[in-house]
Amino acid sequence: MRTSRSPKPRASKKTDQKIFAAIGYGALTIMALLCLMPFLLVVSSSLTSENKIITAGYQFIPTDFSVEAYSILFKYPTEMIQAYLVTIGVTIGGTLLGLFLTSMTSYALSRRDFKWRNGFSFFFFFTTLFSGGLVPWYLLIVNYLHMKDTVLALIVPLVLNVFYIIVMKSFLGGIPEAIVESAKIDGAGDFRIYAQLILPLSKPALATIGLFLALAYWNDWYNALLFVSDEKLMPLQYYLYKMLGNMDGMRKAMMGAGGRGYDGDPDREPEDGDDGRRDRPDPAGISVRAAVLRPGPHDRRGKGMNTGRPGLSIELDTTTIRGEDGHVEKKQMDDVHAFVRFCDDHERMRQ
Amino acid sequence: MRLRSFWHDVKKYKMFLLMLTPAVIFYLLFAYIPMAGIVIAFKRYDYAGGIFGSAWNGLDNFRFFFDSGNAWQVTRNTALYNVAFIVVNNALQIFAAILLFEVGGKWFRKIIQSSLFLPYFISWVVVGAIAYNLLNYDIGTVNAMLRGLGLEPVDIYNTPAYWPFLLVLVSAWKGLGYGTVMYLAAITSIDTEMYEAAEIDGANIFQRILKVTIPNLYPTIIILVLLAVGNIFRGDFGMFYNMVGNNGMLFSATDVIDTFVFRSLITSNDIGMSAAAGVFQSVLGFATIMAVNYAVRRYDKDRALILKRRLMT
Repeated sequence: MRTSRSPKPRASKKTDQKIFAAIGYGALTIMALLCLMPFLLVVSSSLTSENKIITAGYQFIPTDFSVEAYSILFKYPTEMIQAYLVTIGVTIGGTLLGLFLTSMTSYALSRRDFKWRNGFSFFFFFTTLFSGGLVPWYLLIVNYLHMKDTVLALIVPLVLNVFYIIVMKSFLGGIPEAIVESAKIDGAGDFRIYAQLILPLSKPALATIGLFLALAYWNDWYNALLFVSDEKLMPLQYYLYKMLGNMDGMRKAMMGAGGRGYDGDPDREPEDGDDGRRDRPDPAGISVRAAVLRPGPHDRRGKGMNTGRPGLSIELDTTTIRGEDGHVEKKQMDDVHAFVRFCDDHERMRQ
Repeated sequence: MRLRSFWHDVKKYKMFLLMLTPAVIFYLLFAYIPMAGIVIAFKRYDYAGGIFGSAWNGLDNFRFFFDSGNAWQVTRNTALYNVAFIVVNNALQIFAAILLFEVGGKWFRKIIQSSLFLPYFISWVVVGAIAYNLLNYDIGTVNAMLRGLGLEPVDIYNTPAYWPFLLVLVSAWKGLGYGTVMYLAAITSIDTEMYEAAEIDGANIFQRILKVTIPNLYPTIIILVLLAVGNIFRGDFGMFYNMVGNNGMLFSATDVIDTFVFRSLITSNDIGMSAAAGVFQSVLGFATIMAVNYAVRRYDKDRALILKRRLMT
């Protein structure tokens, strides 16, 4: 079983090795399973029908198989496709630009005959030790560089990273100087040496840093959170983030924030009109008299709330607030977001 | 004379300087100018005046930050979470790396290593969603299981007490693969002769790990831990924001400096105070890094980040 990395085994396995192997295989398998299980949960619940999830919770093995979730997703795919296009474009563009800038910078810093290389290194490195914090950075980008709602806001902040410069520089430091010297003798300029000699030689390092850059761009939602409000520019992760937030708000509104539990009829499909209404009395707290899921175009700014599913929006009619003393108050809630906030405040007050 | 030789050098290194220009502009713009923007923390920011035109208000922003009672809470949370992350993550990563080195064939190792690495590639948004699917009160897997067993469900998203454990667990889960590979690389580079010598001396596998592997890992452990300690006042915004969001119920146990600064800036638009909190964080962080660097230099001169003359070598 052993490979050359480990010390040579003795001819027969002793008990200590058997015990250790048992512990080792066991612990590693458990850890690997723990790492994989959440993914299984996601895949499985995506293939389970909505009703089953509501009654039995998210499950690891789909008991009530359904591709409903996917069919809804692909019914109105424009927003999602747009988000994919933004993310793919930003990832490719950002990674290529980042690789070019990182390698060029590192190359200049790695050349030992460049007198000021330590000074410049410190100039870059110091930015990891001290920073002005989020606020001046944010104000600079929004108020002075006017990058809000431009694709630059998604690409530029991630394009250079001191850590990658250091990694690249130490890799380039390992390339024999004789190569550079011989190219110089042949009359090549410094940029040409970089582009035609150094770049091809540093493919392994470029691949590693490219992977990290691509991962950072693909998974980025932070810059979108700060700088993007235009829907056309929403990258995938941020689209997902918004969708989850909306779904949560919707669920809260449907169940009523004052109490817990769900006692609407799960088999009933939410439809236009009265059929989808749930009425849940609560001894004290807020109950939603009517939360209606309406098919139709979502109205983003008005009463309705985007459910995250194209073609479905949620509306509230009347909210009943019951005091601890049985006093009842009815309130008209026009804005679902305001309602969710209201419920949260109410909940906090009760604690 | 000196000026002339300076210009001579500029000419000589023209190409290098050109190559460095984009990066220099980048860091001037996005790092050094914001450093100058620290003055906002001492001003009453108004949009008409901007960063440099607004009126000074001395230490009012800082006073407000400290008087609000948030300063101590977020600083404590940030530091304690990072300490817990450092201890738990490194211990687990070393454990997994040693096991991966000692047991299994090529395929077993490959499969385990890939599985452990998978969470590293997932964005915090997705992790937040998975956690919500697992933990929410009404339809989360954990509560569905508890109900199935006839037990009382737990309202995790309204109970701060669970969160320190949860966040440590999530951090360990996401970082396990990456850290394991780093430690595995360090173990692989240990001279095999040492193992052979231990073998000849009759050491069993446990003794070999305790007396050869772990002592040989000390330099790596110390450097990685000290580097992490230098960042002890930096909260992982992505993690805290996606796991907790704006759930005020949990802030006593989950609010860190980074989420506090973000909320003050974006939600309550309190630019002065959030800038003050940011400066407070930067200064604390800088002091910690300097202290850690001093410690590293005493421990191992070659590995210090900032040496007196040379840098990053």
